[in-house]
This record gives sequence, structure tokens and C-alpha cells, in this order.
Amino acid sequence: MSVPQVAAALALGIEWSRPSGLLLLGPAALLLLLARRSARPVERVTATFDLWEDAMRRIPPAPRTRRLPPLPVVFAAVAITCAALALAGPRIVGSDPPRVFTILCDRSPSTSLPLQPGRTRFEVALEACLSELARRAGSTDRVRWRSQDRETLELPVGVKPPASWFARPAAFLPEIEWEREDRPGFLWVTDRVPTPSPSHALVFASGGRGVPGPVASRGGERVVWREGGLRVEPAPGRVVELRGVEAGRLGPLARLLTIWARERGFELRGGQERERALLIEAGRGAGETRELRIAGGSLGWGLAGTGGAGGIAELPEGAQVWRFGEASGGEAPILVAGSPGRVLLAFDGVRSVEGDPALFALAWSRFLDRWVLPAPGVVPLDERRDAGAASWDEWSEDRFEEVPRVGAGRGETTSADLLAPALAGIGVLFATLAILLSGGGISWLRGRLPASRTRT
Amino acid sequence: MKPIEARTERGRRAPPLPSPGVRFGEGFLDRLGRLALRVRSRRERREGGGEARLLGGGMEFVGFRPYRPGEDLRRLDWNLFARHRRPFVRVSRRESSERWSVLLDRSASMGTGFPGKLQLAAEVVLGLKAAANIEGAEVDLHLMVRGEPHRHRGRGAALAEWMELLESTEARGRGGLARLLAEPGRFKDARALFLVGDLADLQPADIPRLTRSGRDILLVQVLAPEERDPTRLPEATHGDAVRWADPESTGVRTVRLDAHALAEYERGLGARLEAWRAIAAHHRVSFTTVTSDTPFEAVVERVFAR
Repeated sequence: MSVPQVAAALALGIEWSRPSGLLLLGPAALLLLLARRSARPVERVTATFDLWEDAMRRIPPAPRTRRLPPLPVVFAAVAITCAALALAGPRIVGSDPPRVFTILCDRSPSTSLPLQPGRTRFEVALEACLSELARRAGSTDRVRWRSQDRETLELPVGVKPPASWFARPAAFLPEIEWEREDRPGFLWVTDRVPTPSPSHALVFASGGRGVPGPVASRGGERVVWREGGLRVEPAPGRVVELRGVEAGRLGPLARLLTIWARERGFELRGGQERERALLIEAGRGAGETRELRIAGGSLGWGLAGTGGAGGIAELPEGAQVWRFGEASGGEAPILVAGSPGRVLLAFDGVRSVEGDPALFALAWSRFLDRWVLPAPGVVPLDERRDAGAASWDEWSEDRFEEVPRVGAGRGETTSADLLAPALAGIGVLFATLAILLSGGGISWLRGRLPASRTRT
Repeated sequence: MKPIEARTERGRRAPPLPSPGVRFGEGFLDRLGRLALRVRSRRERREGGGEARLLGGGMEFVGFRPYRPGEDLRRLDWNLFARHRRPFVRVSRRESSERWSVLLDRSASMGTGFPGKLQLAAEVVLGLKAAANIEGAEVDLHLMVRGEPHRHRGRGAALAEWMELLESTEARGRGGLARLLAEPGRFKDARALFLVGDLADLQPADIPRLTRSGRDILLVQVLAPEERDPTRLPEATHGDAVRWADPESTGVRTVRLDAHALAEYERGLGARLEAWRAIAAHHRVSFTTVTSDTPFEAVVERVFAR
């Protein structure tokens, strides 16, 4: 323990993680009071009081002596006091590294559904989470913000990520694998209580009734869940926009895009469109134009064409990168990249497809499907269903103690952590002394001495 | 080790008394009956062999016995003296009109001791009552009731009535024997005057004014065992301090019971008892000191033996 920590302790700069343990100070105080009371002279009533007064007048007074409680009782009281302080979990203010909490935000489509006027399920759950956090977190603690699609941010308690971090995801996000995220200090913000219940994390589930609305779309139609049934309704069509080169320069790739768009109910067009399902930007390769080639695709297909030799320089946030192409020493240029609603190509021209053309079509259609934006307002049916009742967890003392600290791994001991064990040790020492100094303790000790056994 | 400094606390409440009440146990009446038999037997022996106390003139004549030095010469039979040249005194049974007065101290100081001083005093009073019945005397009981002297007439009163009265009595307040003696008119015709209490509020000098011709005065001083002998206390064994409290005031004194303090107390108590004995001898007053753990039968018999 450092000198400042000792000073803080002397200045009572101590906080208690289990203040209820201090209740044990009551018996200690009671013990001392009783001992002090027993140490006081016995009061007796006498009819010869005047004789005692006369006797006292004839004897010179002696200085008053204060009788202390018996030493074993004092030691026992000290032992109880130490035990009480140790149980209360003393912690010197400022001595512990800050805790690190992790708010795991479920950004799956259902959390964006409205729960209250002007508020989504996610917003209600997040408010409950922040309320519990404010109740227990210290001013120096940190909060890590995580979600399926956002960069993790670590911020001080009380500071929220910018509004853009909470923006509605452009694409459907996969469900969080909750069991992998059941860790100390984690706070799950979602709309329905995950199963099984977590052992370490706290759950803040908004709940919410089912929300009718579009659940799927295709071409000029959409499927709407309403009054317990599904209905097909007309909807405005959407387009796939090709930007950067004319479709004819992409040769076999352009033909694939046309077929794929038609099969998905989209229209492949150039120019800016309002109801756009996907934007394909060709010719994004940087540097000198030269031959580009993708060989050994995931299913064994290949692609040959021209484009910027440096590959795609500026990648969109969260892009899935395909590092295809001939290795020419060093890191291969990025030729194809995707992000929700957007696909980038380093190619400004495609000459031929290599390998099995069917496998080429299959690989590319999967890639394109992945980045198509959902139709406005469409939320999958399972997500729209009833999310159950709201459920807010609170920290138990045990779970709160599990919350990791900055720079201290789990199970790692800091000097401040030694305060409670040290008090417990002192308590045991004084308890032992109290027993030994009491008559019973001495008798017990004598009874175990070999010499005394021999004598008896 | 010297006694620690004593002090008096003002404004404190009177301490609780250890034995303020009176209770007569189941076997008390049997003990009282056996005592009565012994008193009767003693009286019969007395009438033959003769003791002087409580047997005086103006009563039913029962016979003569030899004179003993110190007896009242008025009871000497001069005719027998002239005839036999030896002194004889007249022995008589008490007349039914003879009155005894028993003054009982029930002040707070009588609530000390274990068993309580008031308990023994009450038992002695009943013993005197039984003796009075045998002697054919009428006995009145005087004690303080609600702060005023009260006389309980003994004529025709059953023993049970006295027992009920005494059991309803509790050691309390400051009104002791001194307050009862302040109104001597209440017992002016008493042939025998019994003062039963710790005599804490009396001085030996109070006794002479009670004497009168033909009256016997009998003092029964009841002390608590620790008042008579403080070395009985466990604190005296270890030289520990005792916080003495005056039952009739708010005074307290903390005294370490070491040898010095005990010796000084013993000296003071001895001087006080000696003063009582001296005044009693001088005025031919019976004086008996007992502790509250003494059987009441022994006390009564000792009183009548004097």
C-alpha cells in the first residue's frame, strides 16, 4: 500500500463495497459497552452510608483511577471490529483502477421497431441500461460500446457515442451470438430476453408487442404482415444502379448483372435513382490502367479485364474485401469490395470469365445479394413478432465485483485489494490473543501441553 | 492501596432497593407457633425462677422470687425481707390492660440486605405479637403509612390481620423511627416500648426522653450482613471498589474496600454500637443488634431473655 493510500485511509477516504458488513460493528460496540459497564464498581445500597463517608474523611483521598475493560474483551472487540471492516469490503478511494463496462447493442431489425410514441425498442432498452450503469459506475469508469456493425468505442461513463453510431443499419444485421458475449461487465441491450439467461452479463430487454408491416419485397410487390396474416401489396420497384463505366465495357460481368437484377425484381440502370437497391461502381481502381485478373475464386472461377493497377484505394466502412488477382510481390491489390448497398470494382473493363461460368454466376450472385439494401420499411416477419415483456436486470454484489478493471486482469491482485485480507488477518490475531488471555484459553492451552499431561 | 476518591452525585435518582418488600413463607406460621411455645415455657420458668424484665408491678400477683442486684427496689417485698432477712420481689402475670407498643421502621434504609432488613423486622414484630398474646398484653403497631404515623390497634386483632398489614408494607421514603418518636403521645400508655429498625435515623441521646417509670424499652437494631461486616462482600476479598448509595438520599460514594477503608468503617461502626450499648445500660434499656440473616425466633428470644 502506498503512502497516499495510507493517508487516504487515515483520512477515512474509504468506500465500502458491502456496507452492510459494518452492521457487525454494533456487537463490537455492545461488547465494549458491557465490558465497560462490568468494569464499573458494583453499586450497593447501605443504611450505614454515613459511616462510609466518615471513614473516607479519615483516609486521605487517592488519585482516581480509571478501570479499563478486561484485555481479552478489548481484544475480542478489536477482532470483531476488524472482521466487520473486512466484511464491508474496504476500498481506498482512488486506489482502484477504473472498471470497464461493455454495452452490447443489438441492432437487429426488430430493435428498430417503435415501442412508445417516438421511441424505438432499442432506445427504451438503452435508457434502462444507462440508468443502471449510472447507479453503480464510478466517475472514472469506462464504457465500451459495441454492436454488430459498428466500430467499438471506449468512452467515459456518461458519454454516449455520436448519433451516427446509433443510425439505423443499412442492411439486415445478423443476430448476436449471445452466449459468446456472456462476460463480466457486459450489458446486453436488446428487445427480447435471450436464452439461455446469462451468468455474468446483465440484460436490458425492452420487450414489445408485435408490429405489423412489410416483411419482404420483390420487384413491384411487397408482403405485408397485418391482422395475423400475410398479404401481397403493390410496391414501387427498385433499381440497381451501375456507375463509372458503360455496361457494355463489363462484357460477361454486365450480362451477369442484368440477369441477376432481373431475377431479383430489380432493373439495372445507369444514373442516380431514388429507390436504389444496390449501387455498383466500376473503374474505382487507382493508378495506371493495366491488365487485371482474378484467378482462383472461391469456387474456381476467374475474371480478366483492365483497371487501375493499385486496386480500390478508398474502401467504404465495413467493406468486405476480395483480394483477388495475381500476386506480384507484396500485398495484392483489392479488386472487388462490398458494403451495404454498394459494390466497388477496380475493373473498368472485363474481357472474359475463366473457369466454370456457372460457378462464376453463383459466386457473384451471392456476393451481390449480400449487399442489397432491404426495401424501405421491410422487417423480417420473425423480427416483427411479439418480443415479450420488458426485463431490466440489476447488478448483484457478486456480479458487480466481477466487472473487470483497466489494467487488471481477472484474478490479479492490487495493493488496495489487500486491505480486507489484512484487516481479516489482524482480526484473527486479536481473536487468538483474546482467547489465549482469557482464563478458558489458558486452560485450553495448558491442557495441550505435553508436560501438563504428564503431571496429570 | 488507598481508597479512590469519593464523590456525591447530585440529581441522581434513588437507587433500587435489593429487598424492599415483606413475604411470609409457607412455614412461617409453624415457626411462629413453635416460638410461642418456647415463650410460654420461658414465662412459666420465669414466674418460678424469676427474671425482672417485662414483669413489673400493678399486675396479677403470682408469687415471689429472690431479688437480683439491679432490680427495681419498688418491687421488693419488705414484709418477706423483714421476716426472712433475705430480699424477695413480687412476681405477677401481666394484666390484660397492659399495653405494648411496637414501633417499626419501614424507611428505605430497611430495604437493604439479603434477606431484607424489613423482612426480619416484620417477622420479629409478629413474634412480639405472639409473645404479647401469651403474656396477655395488648400490643399496638406503629409505622409510617403514606408519610404519616399510623397506629394499628392490637386489641382483638388476629395474627393474620397483622401479617396482611405487614405484607402490604414496603421499605420506602425517609420516615423512620425518628418520625414515629416525634409524637410520643401515641404510645404514652405503653408499658413496653419496642423499637425495631436499623436505628439509622436515631441518636442514642433520643432514648432517655422515652424512659418513664414502669416502662420497658427494647431496641432491636437490624443491620444488613454487609453493614455489620463488610468483609463478607466479594469486593472486600479482592480490594475492589464498591459504589455505596444512600437509600434515603441521592448520595453515592465509591470506596475501594481495602484494609484501610474496612478498618475505618469497623472503627466507626464499633463506636456507634458502643454508644448505643452505653446509653442502653445507663437507662436500663434492652439493646439487641442482629443482622437480617438471623432467624427471627432467635431475635425474639434474645429480646425476652434480657
